[in-house]
Amino acid sequence: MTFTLIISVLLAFLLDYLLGEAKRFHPLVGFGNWASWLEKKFNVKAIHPPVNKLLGVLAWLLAVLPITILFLVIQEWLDNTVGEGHWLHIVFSALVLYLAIGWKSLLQHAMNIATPLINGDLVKARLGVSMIVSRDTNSLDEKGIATAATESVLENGGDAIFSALFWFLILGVPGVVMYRLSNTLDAMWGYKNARFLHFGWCAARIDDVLNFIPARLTALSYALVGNTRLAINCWRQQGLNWKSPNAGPVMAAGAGALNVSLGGAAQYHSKMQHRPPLGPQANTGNQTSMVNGHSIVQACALVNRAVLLWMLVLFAMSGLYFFKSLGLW
Amino acid sequence: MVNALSKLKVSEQSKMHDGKIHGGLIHGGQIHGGDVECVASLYGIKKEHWIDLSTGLNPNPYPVNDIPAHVFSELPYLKAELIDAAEKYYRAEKPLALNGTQLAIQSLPSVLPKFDIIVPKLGYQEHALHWQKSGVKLQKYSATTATLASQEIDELLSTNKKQHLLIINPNNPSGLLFTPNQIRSWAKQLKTGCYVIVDEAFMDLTPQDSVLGQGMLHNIIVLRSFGKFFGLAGIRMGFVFAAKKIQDLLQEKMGLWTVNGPAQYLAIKALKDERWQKQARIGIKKTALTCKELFSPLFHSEKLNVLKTTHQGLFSSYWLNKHQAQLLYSHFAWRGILLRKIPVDENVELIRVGLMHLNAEFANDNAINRIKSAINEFLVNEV
Repeated sequence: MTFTLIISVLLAFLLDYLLGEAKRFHPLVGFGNWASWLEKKFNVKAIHPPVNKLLGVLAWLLAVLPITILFLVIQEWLDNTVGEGHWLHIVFSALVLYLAIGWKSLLQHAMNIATPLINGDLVKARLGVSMIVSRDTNSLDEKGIATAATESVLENGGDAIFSALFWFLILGVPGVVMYRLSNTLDAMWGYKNARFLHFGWCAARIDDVLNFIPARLTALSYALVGNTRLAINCWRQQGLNWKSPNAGPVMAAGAGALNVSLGGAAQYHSKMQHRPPLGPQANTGNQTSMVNGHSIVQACALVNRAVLLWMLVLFAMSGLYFFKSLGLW
Repeated sequence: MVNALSKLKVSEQSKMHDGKIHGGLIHGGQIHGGDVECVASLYGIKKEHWIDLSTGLNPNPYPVNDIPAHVFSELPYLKAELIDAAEKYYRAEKPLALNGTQLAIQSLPSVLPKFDIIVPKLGYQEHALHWQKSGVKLQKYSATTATLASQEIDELLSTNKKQHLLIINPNNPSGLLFTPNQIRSWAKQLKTGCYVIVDEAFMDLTPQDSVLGQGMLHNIIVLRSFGKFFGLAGIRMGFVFAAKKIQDLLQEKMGLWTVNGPAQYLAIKALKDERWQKQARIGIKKTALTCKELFSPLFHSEKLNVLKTTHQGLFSSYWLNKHQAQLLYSHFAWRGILLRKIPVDENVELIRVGLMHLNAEFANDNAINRIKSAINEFLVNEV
């Protein structure tokens, strides 16, 4: 952990906050095309599950490794030519991290739902929520919209911010590149349907592994900057009931931190689907707040406080390293 | 043909400007939807030749067959079964059944305390008409987006909380839709004796957005039209959910045996028929998509400057400048295709396009092809 790394992080978050998501030319679009092409070539009709899994592994490697290695080479080259502390190196790292996180875009998507919902505008709120969920939003009622949006902010806070930041801090530029590509592949291939069950297995499992520690750090951050006691209780009691091993702890802790009831039965395509509860439930005697447009805003504020917490911790750690390097500690 | 057309055009103009023709044909200077009888004589095109897209009714109605003779012969006392079925369908308790919500719309101004009322600028105009007649002052909010409308309603309420408030949810024709929470929060703000009237005539496709069934407040009145979703506008059936006091006053106004026997019989059957309702929702969605695609070349063409579009389950609305809207309306009317033209302000009118029968048994002389060629002729000829 060096001081220059911290400056890159700050610069990346500043860029993200000021510019939002790169709209005109986002390199991930090119990667998406590359991944689609690979899927077309490698996701052949079911031969034999292990073979399809193996093809999925191969496609994953071909998708992720070349680009990750390219960035590794660039980083090494910069290290050897201009050195780690050079501004060029800092800006390069910051730009890559900026492209890998989606803090501002998460807040914007959330507010595009929260603002109309608070104003009572169901048409706009529904339009906003259709941008972030793939299910039929016409069957979502007011509470359903608020629930879906709040859950999505909490979950994506982990994926789009803290996981990327974690891998950047641990493995630098190649680390965050690998994470972002792997997470994108999970979003493209990680489905349990006939087309992706075996082929997408590798992408889904690797994403689970890469997110394992960051998800728990995210849950911990939510707990620390919200209602800590409730968050920890919900995390321990509900975190493992969720179908996704990483989203569970994050959303349970987030719901607890906000003291709001999420999860539970939800209407999907006019069918009731039973999901485990997240957060304190009204029937357990807790004073929970009803989920509504304001819950989405509160979830955004929670994510922002967690970002601030990470920045403060990074500052403290880099300070320690700084003093240590001077021999003062 | 040219001569005949020009003659008809003259007669159309003179009739349109004459104002009220009785029989509900022209009402307040505006023709209601679905009045093929009137336009048939106006344009000299036989009634059965018209393609009627002027209503917001389900074009594939609940099947009517084998109505037992006794429901015609007996006095139609209100059946408990009808109320049970309605309670289940609308997910709310104790509705008042009446022969069409239009009756409630006409009666509410004399039933509710005499206070001013806040109404949408755009929406089913019968509300405003009858409140106006009752002599109270009408304040209007713009009804194009709910965000803007919310702000205007809040402003109007901040100056005077002793007013009624009318919400058409979702709004016909603008598609504006408020959350149940928002409606409840206005109801809570109002002074005693003031009511929020929520006309949910088009709520059947998104029942989860209804203000009903989520802890009704005593000063919310909800009107539910039966005929639109079930496609049975002819039997005149509707329900009012309101405080008992209001229901009693409405009932008193309407008198005995308001809902006739065959209507009760059909409504009980239809409200209970969940399978048909489910299929109807899917069917309406499909038909709406087909109609949207059918008209897409017209409303996306450079010849028309569409200012705003909204697609509801049972209709689509297109905002145009007045001149273009009139041109479009009469272009289609001369070809026996009835659209609905609704004024928005001095410069803007909207064209509302309802759903059409897609089943061969209903389609009159190949309706889709006639619409297609009308669109093509408009795109080629009109300037």
